[in-house]
Amino acid sequence: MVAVRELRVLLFEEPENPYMNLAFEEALARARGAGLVPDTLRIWRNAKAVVIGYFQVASEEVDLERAGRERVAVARRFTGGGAVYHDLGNVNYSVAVGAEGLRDPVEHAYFHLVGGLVNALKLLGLDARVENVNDVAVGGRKVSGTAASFRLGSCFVHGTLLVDADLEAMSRLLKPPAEKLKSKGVSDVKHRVVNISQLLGRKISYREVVEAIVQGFERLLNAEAYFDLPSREELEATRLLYERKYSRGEWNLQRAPHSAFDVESELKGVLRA
Amino acid sequence: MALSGAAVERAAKGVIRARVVVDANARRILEVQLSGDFFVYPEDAVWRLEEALRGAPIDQVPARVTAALEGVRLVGCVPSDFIKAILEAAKGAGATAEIPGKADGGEHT
Repeated sequence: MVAVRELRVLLFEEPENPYMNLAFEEALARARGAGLVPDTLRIWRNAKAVVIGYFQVASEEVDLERAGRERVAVARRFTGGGAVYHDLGNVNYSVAVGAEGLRDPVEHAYFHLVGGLVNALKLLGLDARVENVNDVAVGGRKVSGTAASFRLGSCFVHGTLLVDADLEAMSRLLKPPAEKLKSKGVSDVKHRVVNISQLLGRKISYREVVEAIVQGFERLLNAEAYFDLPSREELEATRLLYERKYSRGEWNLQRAPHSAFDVESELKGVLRA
Repeated sequence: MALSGAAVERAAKGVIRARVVVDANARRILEVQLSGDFFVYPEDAVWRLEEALRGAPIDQVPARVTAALEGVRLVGCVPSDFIKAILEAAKGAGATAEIPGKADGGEHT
């Protein structure tokens, strides 16, 4: 098959600063929405963090006392969905594509774009499938969770991939409500998720995961990948978002809407196409 | 004196937590906070829904939620999940209203 377009790939990451990593996520979605960058796949990691969804209250989802003691950052992303534990054994991917011409961006994100990760797992030899709207599972156990947003002018979806993460730490730090575990018929969060290294029965390098994800999305989008660096506008927007929103306790721990943070007018200046 | 209550409702995908403050007669909602791991598009409809419920008599909760979520895309949950969470929380604060079944309204992806 002839590749008909290019896919920009970023390996830009700030593992020691999850707030900056998450500020970059919003900057990427905005930059794509403003037409400043082409369709982009980003692959990145956090060293040690719990990342919560836009509608969550940190104290309801995370053992904050333990997180403080274990020096685990609690950081909010701009998409909905649930709390996830990130360490270097968890690889994140993000895809920002143009929303123009999409009949149904929700379907496109959750049913089409997630296919790139499913392809990646198949390339690694795993029979993965999308389950329960936004999970990717192998043999009924979740290896990836997905969340999407459409409010920034792009169709943006990002997700986790458990490669060799510390599931004990995940279990210690997250507080899943009893209702949720009961419905899944398991007693602990760590029993319904699994690392792909365990499924494959071998260690798997970061490079191998990156190559599989890139190829998985190349196949899905019929595109040829090229590696790039963040644009000046993406970095400037990230800095603004970090300073005004992502580095702040009101954003990370409470449940404040985007409109509570004074950053929109300056961002518009930075992201003028 | 205001009274507060909290409830957690499980949707097809995710949970919806409601924290509700009702007035002293337990007839009217003063404040609602909705949180959880649900997906709602556009996202800020959650805050508009909370605003729409401020001052609402308990028995008007279902109608106000349904109206506020008109045109809002819900993924893995339906308006009645929010109604149930809010009314359960209000009940915990001493207010009562009939909790509707799950059959009503809402796109369910």
